[in-house]
Amino acid sequence: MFGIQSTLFMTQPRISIVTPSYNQAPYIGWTVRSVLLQRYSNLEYIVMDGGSTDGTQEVLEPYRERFAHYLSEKDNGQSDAVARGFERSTGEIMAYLNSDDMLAPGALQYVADFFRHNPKVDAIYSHRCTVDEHNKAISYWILPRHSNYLMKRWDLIPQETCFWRRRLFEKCGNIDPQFRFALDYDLFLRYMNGGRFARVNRFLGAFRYHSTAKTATLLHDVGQAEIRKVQGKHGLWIRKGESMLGGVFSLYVQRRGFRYQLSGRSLPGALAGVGYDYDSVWGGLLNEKRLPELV
Amino acid sequence: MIDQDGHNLAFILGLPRSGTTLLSVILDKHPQVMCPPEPWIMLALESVGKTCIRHPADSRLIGQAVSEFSDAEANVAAARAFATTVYNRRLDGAAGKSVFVDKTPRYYHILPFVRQTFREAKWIWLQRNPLDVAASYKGSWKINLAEVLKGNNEYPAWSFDIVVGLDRLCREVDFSDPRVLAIQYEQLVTDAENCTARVMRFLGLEPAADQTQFDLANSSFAKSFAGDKKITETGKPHAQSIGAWKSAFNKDELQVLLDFIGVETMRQLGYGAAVNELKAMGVNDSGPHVTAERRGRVLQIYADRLADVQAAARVDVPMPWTQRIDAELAERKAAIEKLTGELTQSRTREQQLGSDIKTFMELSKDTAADLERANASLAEATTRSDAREQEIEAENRKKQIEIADLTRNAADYKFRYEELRAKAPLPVKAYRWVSGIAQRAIVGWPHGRRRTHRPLPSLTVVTPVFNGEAHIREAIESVLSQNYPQLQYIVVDGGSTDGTMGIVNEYKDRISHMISEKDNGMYDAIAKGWQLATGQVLGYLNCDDLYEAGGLMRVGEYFRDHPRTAAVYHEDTVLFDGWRFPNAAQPPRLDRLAILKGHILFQDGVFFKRSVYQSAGGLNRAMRRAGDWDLWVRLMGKVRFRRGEAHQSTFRVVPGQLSADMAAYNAEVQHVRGEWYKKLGQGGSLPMKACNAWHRVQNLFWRKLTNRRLFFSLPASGCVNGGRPSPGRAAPAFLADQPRCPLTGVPPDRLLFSSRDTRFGDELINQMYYCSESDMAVTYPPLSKEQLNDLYERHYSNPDAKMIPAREGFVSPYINYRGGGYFDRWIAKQVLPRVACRGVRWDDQTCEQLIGNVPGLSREGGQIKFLDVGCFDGKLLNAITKVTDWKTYGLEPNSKAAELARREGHQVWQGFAEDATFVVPQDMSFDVIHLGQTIEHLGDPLTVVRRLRGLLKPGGRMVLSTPNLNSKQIDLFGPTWSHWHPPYHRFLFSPKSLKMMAKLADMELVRTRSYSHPYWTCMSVQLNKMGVGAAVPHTVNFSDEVVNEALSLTFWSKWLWDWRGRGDYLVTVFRKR
Repeated sequence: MFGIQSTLFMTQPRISIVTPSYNQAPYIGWTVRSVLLQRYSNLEYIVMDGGSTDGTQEVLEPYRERFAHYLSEKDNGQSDAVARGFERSTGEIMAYLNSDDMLAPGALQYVADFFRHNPKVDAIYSHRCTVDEHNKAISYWILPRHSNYLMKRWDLIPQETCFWRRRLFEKCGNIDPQFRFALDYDLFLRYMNGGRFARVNRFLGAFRYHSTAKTATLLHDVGQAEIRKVQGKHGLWIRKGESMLGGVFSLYVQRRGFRYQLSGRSLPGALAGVGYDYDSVWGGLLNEKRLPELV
Repeated sequence: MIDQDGHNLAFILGLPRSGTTLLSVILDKHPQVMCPPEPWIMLALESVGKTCIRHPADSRLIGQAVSEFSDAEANVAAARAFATTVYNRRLDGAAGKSVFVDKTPRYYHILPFVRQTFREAKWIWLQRNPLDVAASYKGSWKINLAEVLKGNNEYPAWSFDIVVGLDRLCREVDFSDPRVLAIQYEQLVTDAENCTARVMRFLGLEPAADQTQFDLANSSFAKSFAGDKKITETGKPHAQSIGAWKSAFNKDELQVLLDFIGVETMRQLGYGAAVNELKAMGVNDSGPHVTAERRGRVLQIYADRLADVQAAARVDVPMPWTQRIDAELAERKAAIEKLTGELTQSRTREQQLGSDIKTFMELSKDTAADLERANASLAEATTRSDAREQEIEAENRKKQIEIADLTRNAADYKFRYEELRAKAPLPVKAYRWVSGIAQRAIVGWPHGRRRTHRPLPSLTVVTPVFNGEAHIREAIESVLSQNYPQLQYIVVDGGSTDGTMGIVNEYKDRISHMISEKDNGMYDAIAKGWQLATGQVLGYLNCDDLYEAGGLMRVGEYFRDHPRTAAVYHEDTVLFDGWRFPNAAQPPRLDRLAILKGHILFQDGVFFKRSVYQSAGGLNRAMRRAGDWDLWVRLMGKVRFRRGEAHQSTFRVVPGQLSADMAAYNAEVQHVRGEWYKKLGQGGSLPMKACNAWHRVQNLFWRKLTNRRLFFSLPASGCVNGGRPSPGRAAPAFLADQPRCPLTGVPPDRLLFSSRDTRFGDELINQMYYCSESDMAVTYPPLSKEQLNDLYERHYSNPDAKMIPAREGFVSPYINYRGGGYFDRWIAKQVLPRVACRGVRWDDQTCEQLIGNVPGLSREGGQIKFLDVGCFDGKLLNAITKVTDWKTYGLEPNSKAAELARREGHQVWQGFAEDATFVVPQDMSFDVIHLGQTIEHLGDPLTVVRRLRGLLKPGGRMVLSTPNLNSKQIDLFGPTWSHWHPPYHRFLFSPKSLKMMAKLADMELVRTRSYSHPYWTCMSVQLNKMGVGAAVPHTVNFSDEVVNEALSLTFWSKWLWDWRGRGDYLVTVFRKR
């Protein structure tokens, strides 16, 4: 049996996932479990804890030996933690997952298969499924096919669903630690300039909207300023009329999500409608305590 | 003659001035009695030897010599002889006189001497009120005793009479002695004859005539120095001097006299009345100590006199009576001292008590005043607060009524609005439609089902109860655990005398209203409850009955989604001996005539709007049994009733319940029906004829036109009417742990039937429910994982190969059940010869059915990996390795079976299906996962499928085989179909429900095929012959007859039904997207 496993081992590209964490104890358990329960054999999971004080370390304790790298010390914010995590990573495919977001079941296997079947694609992302602090699905973003024009100008790529190849990382560099909010926007802009993106028609993860999330607290002051700064840095100037297009695009994404929610249809990675517990997509595994045995 | 003992001798005792002279005169008048005036002789005899101190021969020497010479006894003998001689001489001197009476009052000084001298002499004591005696002293002798006694220390001899004499007489005369007679002066003067007669009889003589009439002018009395001279002036006794003391003395004098005489003495002599009169005059009793002290003084002087006499006589040996006087004196003194001490003590105590009482009085006066004031204010406050309380209560009641009215009005307006909206004219509707489109164009067109956002209507349920403690708890639980959001629940009790109200009170915080009073029957109670209703929709539940799980929610949703419907009725189920069966079907349409003709609606399942109820005039409270029927008739005239497609309630068959007496019910119905027929025209009228014809047409077709596929009515020989069903262990009639459909999460809406374990004969009666939304069957009651494992351990691994017949004497429910359409039944009867059925295979076809249903698997991952969940001993894995190059894995909870499969060379993990994620190494993922006849056994099939999905590669397939709820054999065999298999089969799926499950597990259903196998058909055929009270295990060898029938049925199934998805079991393929 080990012979077969070793051949599998070679065929599966290594996937590196970095989770920066700082005081998100209520959610990080779900996040970590959603990664460790992927049943993906060649996973490199790096957790960078910025010296949390709310019991995060106790939550992480049972999973410590599953992490390829675990660091718990004071850092210079989320972007710094992620950047240092990426420096340590060795995976063929890379991503980072914030400590309140989750992956969909089977997402890594799908991503690996997708990259194997689409050698020209350097990065992929999916639609966004938003959950609240009780893991209840509340809304969706259904994105159109990838367009560099739209995605460069407006920050709508769901970060928790985005995976990229190492070659893009090596070509376009690491996260810029100067940003606190728009670090993913800056990164994706650079990657979009350097490689090919694709959107997959499913949900690869779930984004949590809660009152202490950065998206909720920082969007209006720091967030907007940083987004303009990023756009300035890359020489993107939103022309007259284009700003309205941005508004319509954003509304369009949300409206498609609303239609999806009402339609009763379902895409892989989520169930139909809203209001269900995201854990039911996982078959109740996120709220369990057990983990599969180590190989 | 007088002898030595003193026979014929008598002494008259008494104080001077107490009428002794009168008595002696009366006695002397008797011819045999001699009573001369005062002889004094005994006093003289007593003082022999005591001479005057101035005696020339020296009185001292005389006394000493005499006492030396003659002792006391000699003196007495001498005195006796002397006195006898003197008395007899006098008697001899008078002719006829034989009795001598010696009347000398001052003999009181020497009473012991007198008695010692004449032992048998008779004593007559003449008593008189001492105060009258004193008055007589004053009147006759001019001596005021009171003044003499008051302060003077010098007492003359006569002053001793009233003090010493009275005292002596009282102390020394023994009344119980037969020799003594006491008479009273008052009696003597008022009733002289009788009194005289008493005295004469005492003396042993007959009284003589005219004794009380006397003339004393020349008698010895007039000549004598002693005695009362006044008596000579009167001829007979008179009573004038009785009570003379009242005029003779003033108050102070009387007080002095009383102090000396003593109240005790007065009472002893029988003059208590005088004491009372004295008291009334203000003369008080000073107490015995005062009397003793006063007398003591007189006695002192008296003793001194005696001492003088002794001193004169120089007698050293004291005379016995003087000795006694000394002792008496000492005794008296001691008594006086003691009494004085007591007096002082009691005076002090009295003073103390007096002051205490004074203080207390003052204090209590204050306290009493305070108390009175406090009481007054308390009473005032109480009355005021009572009044205020009543006011507040009245206000509250008024407000509550107002609130209820307002709520009701608001709800009514809202409902009315909805109704009007539904009835809006066409242009308005068109406008609404267009504007709706415009709105949705902005927000987004809703795909799929239209969702209503109207709120649920408020609901009022009334439960009438009278002495229903046996089932009321379950009834209340079944209402409250519905968790209907706007429920008003009212319990109306008819004054139960058992524990009903105790049970109801346990739920009082969740019951809106509780009424407990004597009422006028069940319908009166319900009408009372509905009077309080604020809900838009009304219904009632009898205390024996139950709502099915989720029933109220379905009613609310129906009214919400059908705003124009005003009344719905439902079918219900029957609970009997632990078995639950669906009750008779209700037609999809009903009109008033059908009801009038006697169609019975199940009252627990009828719900209607309150507005309709009010406009129909409410319940007829006078009805006893058919009140509901009467209401339906009237409601039917107002609104159309709709059938709700669910089992709403459970009717419990209880011996002796109201509905059991159908004759009484029909009598009431007959009465009302007659009135309605009068109104509507007789049955012969044209409209009635037309209606009847229409009903006949309806009755012909409605059963055929409606799909009643899973309705398993009891046959005519059914249990409820025909006999008792096979005994079994009843499931709880109502559990808070309600049956739930695992896919929709709501309670299933119809009951299919109940059944015991038909495989291994377990006693528990299971109930099969049906969820129409997900099209699947659910087994109730729920069993925990432990209970299930226990069952499997006991029966499944080593089943008994014997059939268990139903119990004798009971009806095995659904025995020989045959359903389905005419054609199906005809086909089932066509038993073909075996030759014709050669195409029907007996062998296990799982492997080929599995492989044949997963075509087009991707082989890019190399070898196809196959996981059999519940592989048991690896039979299927063996078969697969024989025909394919698949890599086979197994998952099996039973360790022994897993070991067997491992021996066959397969990799097998031991564990339950839901733990597959943790048991199977995490780098393993599979192309095909097989759940063969497993999913229907699982407590939570959806979770298992969701978790197993994680073990699939993208694009991998999950193959499930499970019994088919769409099976044609269910139509034919009904509850005796072998695949119901309760309680082991928890859920039964149809293609529709499997599709739903695939979607919920984030997969797609890519293929469904149905198959039949003759062995399972054999079991169904066999069980059909035995009913669900029996058991047929799955290892049994069947008879040829059964096998033939099953073979031909499987043959027909293969050609007619399997390919249409109506085969016995399903093979379904899910694909991971």
